[in-house]
Parts: sequence; structure tokens; C-alpha cells
Amino acid sequence: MSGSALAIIGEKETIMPFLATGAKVVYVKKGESVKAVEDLIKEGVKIIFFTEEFINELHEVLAKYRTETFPCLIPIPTGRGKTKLAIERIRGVIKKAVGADVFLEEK
Amino acid sequence: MKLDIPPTRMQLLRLKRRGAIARRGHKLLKDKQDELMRKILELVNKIRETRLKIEDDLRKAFGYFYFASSKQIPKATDEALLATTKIIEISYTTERVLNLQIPRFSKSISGRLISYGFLSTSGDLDLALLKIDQLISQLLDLAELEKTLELLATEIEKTRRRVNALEYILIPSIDETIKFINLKLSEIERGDLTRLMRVKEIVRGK
Repeated sequence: MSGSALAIIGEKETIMPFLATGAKVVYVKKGESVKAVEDLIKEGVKIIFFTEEFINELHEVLAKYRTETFPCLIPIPTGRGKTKLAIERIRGVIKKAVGADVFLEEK
Repeated sequence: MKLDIPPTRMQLLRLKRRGAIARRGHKLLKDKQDELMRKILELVNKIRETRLKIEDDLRKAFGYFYFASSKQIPKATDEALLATTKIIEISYTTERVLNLQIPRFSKSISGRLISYGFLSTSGDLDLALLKIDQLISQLLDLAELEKTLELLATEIEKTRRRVNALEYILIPSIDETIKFINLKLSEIERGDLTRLMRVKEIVRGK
């Protein structure tokens, strides 16, 4: 597969540095992420990283592709302070599956 | 809950067979559930470590980047980033874990990361980009792990529902129906016997 198998979605200031890595970088503003992700999936992108702030917006899309092997939709932190959204998401998934919160954080 | 089945010998045989199959299915699914659970617990720790590490590294990298972009004119940053000759190629395969298709990624990278002039860019930019470049492979690992986790989690949910349906609904109701048919059949047999005895008595009394 070509280089377009990997894409990163986020606000311009946040994900700009990823341009240098050769990945496909798509700048979106609030409210545009769903369309951007759907377009990328149609193009055949297999791994899509998006910044955590879009996690709520993309909720439905995430649920839709949850049971499929591709594409992988993975939230990445923004680097602007620590938001726990991504960790919370994983924790929710595990809690639902296992029935107990085994994803405890060491503190 | 008793199944709505006529109490005949034929149905009794069929039910017994169904019961045996249900029990076998239940055992298999239960084993599958245990295995899935073991796998998911294994994954959880790995994911937590990877994610925390990535978050840490990414924050550092972004930190450098913000420093860099505040030191130089925005256009220079844009140019420097666009000038990269790096091409990242990702190939993917799937691996089977039980009945699931788990993604596996591998990457090949070609080109140079830093292909801009040093005059208009600050040294922090180099640091930031180097860090982020290293992160890409970790991010791929994370993508793989998290997808696996999601798939496993959905499968566990499904399997658990099936196991429970078999264990608490289907198998008990089959058992109950078998018992009911057995009782009914022996009741009919007893009825036949007494009727026969009665008839014999009447015949003899004649």
C-alpha cells in the first residue's frame, strides 16, 4: 500500500509537525472532523489518528467502525495539557467487556 | 420456561439431542470467553504503558515545536515542514485471533527528515521533528493494540451474551421440557396399565 495508508486529523497548530514525517495530514476545524474522516476512509486510509478534542464529535463514526478490522481510528493527545479523553475511552471499552474497571492508573 | 412441544417419545429423543448440542456449544463458548478475557487483560497493561509513554513524548515534542515556531516566522516553519522528502509506506496484514481479524502494520520509511535550510529555522524545530519521527512507529503500535482491544472487547460482549443465553435460558428450558415429557409419558403408561387391569377384571368377572 502507498503512503496514504496513514493519516492524521486535527487542528492546524496541533498537528503541523506531523507533516515532516511523511504522513497524510488533514487540517480540520471544529465540526468538520466527521466529514474529513469519512472522506479519508473512502479514500482507503487504514489508520487515522485524530487529536483528542474531536473524540466527542467523532463518537458515532467511532462506534460505526468499532467492529471492523480497518480503519483504525486512534485518538492522540494534543500536547496542550493533559486531557484524559482517550484514556477514558479505552477504560469504557474495557469496562464494558470485562465488567470491571481493570484499567486502573497508577498514581 | 417449558418449551411448547408435544409430549411424545419422538420429541423427547429430539430434545435430548438438542440438549447435548446446547451443552457442548455452551462449553465451547465458555472456553472462548475465557481465552478472550485472558488476551484482553494481557493487552490492557501493554496499552496503558504505550499510551502513557506516547502522551509524554508527544507533549515534549509539541513543546519543542511551539518553541520553534514562536522563534521563527510562520512561513519559514511551513516551508520547512513541506520540504520534507520523507515518504512513509505502511503495509498491513491481518492476523487471526480466534474468529477475529487483527490488524498488523509494518512501515518502511524513505527520505530525509530534515531537508530544510538551517538559516531560517531554529534548532528546536529539529529536535521536535526528530522526536515526532520516532513517535510514528510507536503510534502504529498503539493503533494496532487499540484496534485489537476494541475488537476483542466487542467479541467478549457478544460471546458473553451467547453463553448467558445458553446457560440461563436454553439449557434450563430444554431440561425442564425433557422432565415434563418424561412425567407425561410415565403418566400415560400408568393410565394404560390401570385401564388394562380394569378391563381384565371385567373380562374375568363375566
